[in-house]
Amino acid sequence: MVAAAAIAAACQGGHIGENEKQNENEKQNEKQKPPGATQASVCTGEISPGPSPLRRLTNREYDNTVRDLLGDATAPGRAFAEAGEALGFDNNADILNVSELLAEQYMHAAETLAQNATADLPKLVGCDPNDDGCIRGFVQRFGTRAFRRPLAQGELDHLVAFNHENRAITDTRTAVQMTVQAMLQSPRFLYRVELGAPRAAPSDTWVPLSDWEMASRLSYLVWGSMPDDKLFAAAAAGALRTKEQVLAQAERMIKDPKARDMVVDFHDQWLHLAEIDTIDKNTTVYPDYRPEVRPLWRRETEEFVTRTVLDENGTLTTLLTANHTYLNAELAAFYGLSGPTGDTWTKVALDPARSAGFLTHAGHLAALSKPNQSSPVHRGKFIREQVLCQPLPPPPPNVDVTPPELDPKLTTRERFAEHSTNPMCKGCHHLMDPMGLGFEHYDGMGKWRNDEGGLAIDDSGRVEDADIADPAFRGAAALAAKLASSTQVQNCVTSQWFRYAFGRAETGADACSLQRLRDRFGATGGNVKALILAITQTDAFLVRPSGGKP
Amino acid sequence: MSKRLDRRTMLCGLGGITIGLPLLEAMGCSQDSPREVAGKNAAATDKGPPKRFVAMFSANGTENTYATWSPTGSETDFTLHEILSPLEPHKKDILVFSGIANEVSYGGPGDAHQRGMGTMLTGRTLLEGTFPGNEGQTAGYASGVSVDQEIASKIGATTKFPSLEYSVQNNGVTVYARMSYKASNQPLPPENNPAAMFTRVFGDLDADKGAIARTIAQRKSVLDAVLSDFGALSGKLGGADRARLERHAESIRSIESRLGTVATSANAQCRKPGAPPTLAFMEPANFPQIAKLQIDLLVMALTCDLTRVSTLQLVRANNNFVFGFLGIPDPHHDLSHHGDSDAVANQKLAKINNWFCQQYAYLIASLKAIPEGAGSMLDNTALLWCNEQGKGNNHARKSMPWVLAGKAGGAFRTGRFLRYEGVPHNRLLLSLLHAYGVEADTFGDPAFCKGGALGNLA
Repeated sequence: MVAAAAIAAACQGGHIGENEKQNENEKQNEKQKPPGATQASVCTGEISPGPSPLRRLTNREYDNTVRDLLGDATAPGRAFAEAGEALGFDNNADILNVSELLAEQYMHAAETLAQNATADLPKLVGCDPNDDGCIRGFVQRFGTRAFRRPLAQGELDHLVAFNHENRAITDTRTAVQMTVQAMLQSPRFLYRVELGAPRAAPSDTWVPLSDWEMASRLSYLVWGSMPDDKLFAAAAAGALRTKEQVLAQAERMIKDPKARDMVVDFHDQWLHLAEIDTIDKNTTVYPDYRPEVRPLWRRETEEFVTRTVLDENGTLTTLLTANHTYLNAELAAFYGLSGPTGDTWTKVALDPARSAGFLTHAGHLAALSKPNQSSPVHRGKFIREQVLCQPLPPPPPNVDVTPPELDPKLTTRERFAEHSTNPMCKGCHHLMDPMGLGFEHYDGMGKWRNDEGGLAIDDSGRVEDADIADPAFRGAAALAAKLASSTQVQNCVTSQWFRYAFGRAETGADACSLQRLRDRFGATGGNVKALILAITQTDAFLVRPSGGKP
Repeated sequence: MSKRLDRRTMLCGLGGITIGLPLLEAMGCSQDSPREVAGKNAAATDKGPPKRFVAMFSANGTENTYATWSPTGSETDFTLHEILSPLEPHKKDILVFSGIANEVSYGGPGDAHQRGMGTMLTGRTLLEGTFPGNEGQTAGYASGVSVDQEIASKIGATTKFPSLEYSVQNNGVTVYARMSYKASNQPLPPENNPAAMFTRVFGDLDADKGAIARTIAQRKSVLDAVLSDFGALSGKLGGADRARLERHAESIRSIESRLGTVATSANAQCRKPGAPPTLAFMEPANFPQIAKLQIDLLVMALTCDLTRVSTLQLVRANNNFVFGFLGIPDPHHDLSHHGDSDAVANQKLAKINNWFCQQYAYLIASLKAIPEGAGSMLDNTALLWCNEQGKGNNHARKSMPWVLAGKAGGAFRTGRFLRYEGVPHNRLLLSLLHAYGVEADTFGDPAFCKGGALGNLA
């Protein structure tokens, strides 16, 4: 997989040996690229969509979909078995299996949702539910939205007959409930089924999507939910067939408040924001710490990324280097800042020497710390893996990974000195600590500190093994500026979005799709909204491989 | 012969419920099925109370010198020290092991914690996979069924749930976070949230019998319709996608097959528990309360014979949970890596493991409090406390700090401290299978089962 790039070679000189498997993978990927491919020539004009596995709705998508389908905001999916994550995201098609437990949870959720939906039966059905003709209309209407495409005649007949039978042996309401339950447990609801468009077969290797399939691709990308009426109407009118039509819809959709949920979901996962929820700090070391601050910490970063990306047409540079943030009164008090009142999240200007976008948000830094101290290792590791896309191996089994004990006579840098002197440690830690130490002015709770208990802080560092010409920096803001200027960082963020958008790893067949995204991201100065919209213009999005059936 | 009737028998016509014939058929009530079920039931009753199996997990090994863990004294006259002191009232009901080694975990893919966890109840090495491990290696899930699931296929066929998997503070979906396997590469996800567990397990207990009959019939009907939808769609898809749908359909078929199975020998102590209070179940400070709620649900599900097999996974392998509620600020895994001579760290590890032992003791005491036959439910249960490591700081798994409580209906002679010299843990797992009547000569990797089951447990 492309994800496991190059790090084994970089992580050397210590305990980490050459990783044959990763290198092999890399060679494989190289082979998949067109011969002689360079940045300029990966797009040969041949359409190449990459794989397109069957995708199950994630638990979040399930909740959003039943909200939009039934007006039911009870979010039963929050209690469903978790899928885990692959390549950093929980929507990877490979891991979205259905265990017996989840199938049972789907059953119970369908029962409750159907019960809620039939509380006002006439409203749901719109006519006399004892009449087969009325039921036929309901099933056609509701089924089109539930399956996100019109029902075939056979499917319609089947469901109407199912309702009819059950009405005879139960009662009218129960029969409608059972019909709804069956649809909510159907693979046509729970999966995003794509069979391709029957209208054209221009190639042996790819097929266009049907209009309805394209509508779902758009809605699940931008909203993590089912299409709305306008999108369904466009599908029905065959108005989702050109790149321009697709882009116009995406541009409309990204202005909808539902897109905010998508931006939050991506950044929650990319930036590991859920880890803020379970932070635990030592209140002897941090007497100001209160667990109640955690949701505010998470909210700060979510507000910042959403407003930056969607409201302010912001760039990757803004995300990494901004000298402002969004706070409510309570969180402003935590930072010792003023401005916001009450629970209104307000834009607050920050000291440029002490701020670097999300990188210096307190929750982010507190999550990348130990309960009683900062952690240059974790802070550096985060940037290496999430921002530079260079995954690192965990420490070897026989090593003591306990952070050095607090010592009032030593700074954190001094206590971690072994990582840069002992050759056993240095091989990997030179990829982490020298970046993490740049954040030493932020304590284990993410708050600015002028010194460490009276000892002067040295926050100089280096960004090793990246495409940064002058790797030396001093302080978080300077580090952020270097990262913002890096093509590697820009490509890494592009890859993260690609994996999130398609629920899979990028492959050799995606070389052109990725290149188009990188070009667009670069040409717009790293505009994140433009990147999201550009995803809809790639081969990977617009078509799928042919030959669904073997 | 007991006068109790199982619910299926009642549903199928003996309970005075009026439901339509198609529904009865949908429930799988053929003309002779009531007799058949009643007969099966009588057979079960003749054999006495059912046996149960429970495995409780805690992580990161025990205190590194074992001084606060290991009993001293002889096989039958031994003294418990700090960690096991909560078991003092249950000394006659336990087997404490020394020198049982997880040998199979020294091979195969994965890091020490991944291997320790995946092999713990399966006795098999891990698959190749994508979970990151040490030395740049990767690992997948375990490559075989776990002992609890093997037992469940023997004794769990007639209960509403073949097994129930509970956890507390278990985060992540990786080989670190799974102890129970239905088969190779099929880990069973445990539930962290007692409120969700309560709804799942007890939601329809004590509901009106007629309503239950109707629910079962309706579910059967809906699932049939859903399955036919799966069938229609599968044929249109390519290999990998079709296999994915087929696994999903298999899960639905399994649910369908047990729709009608309910309690067959509910103990008189069976009652629907109150709904658990709404608590943030992943909040570290709530760990003790959540653990108690989960244990209470687990014990009541056994009491009501809703299942006979359960696992309780406290946190996960390799976790860095902070036991703030014990006044210990150090993350657990980090703490487990201090040297043997670090007395302060050892004292903290003893305290943490003592707390886990208190949970185990509460589980034992809860089972003991349920009268059954001439004794208690504990007499018909085996309750294993297991760990993925032995010695945390060097990951030695040569002497697993495991304890077994309960006699499993006379299969185990308890009240002893058993010393072994590096006996592979596969043989202990095989002994567990035999206690439940599973006929097998080996369990897990046969290479680690030479000598067969341990001879001196009964």
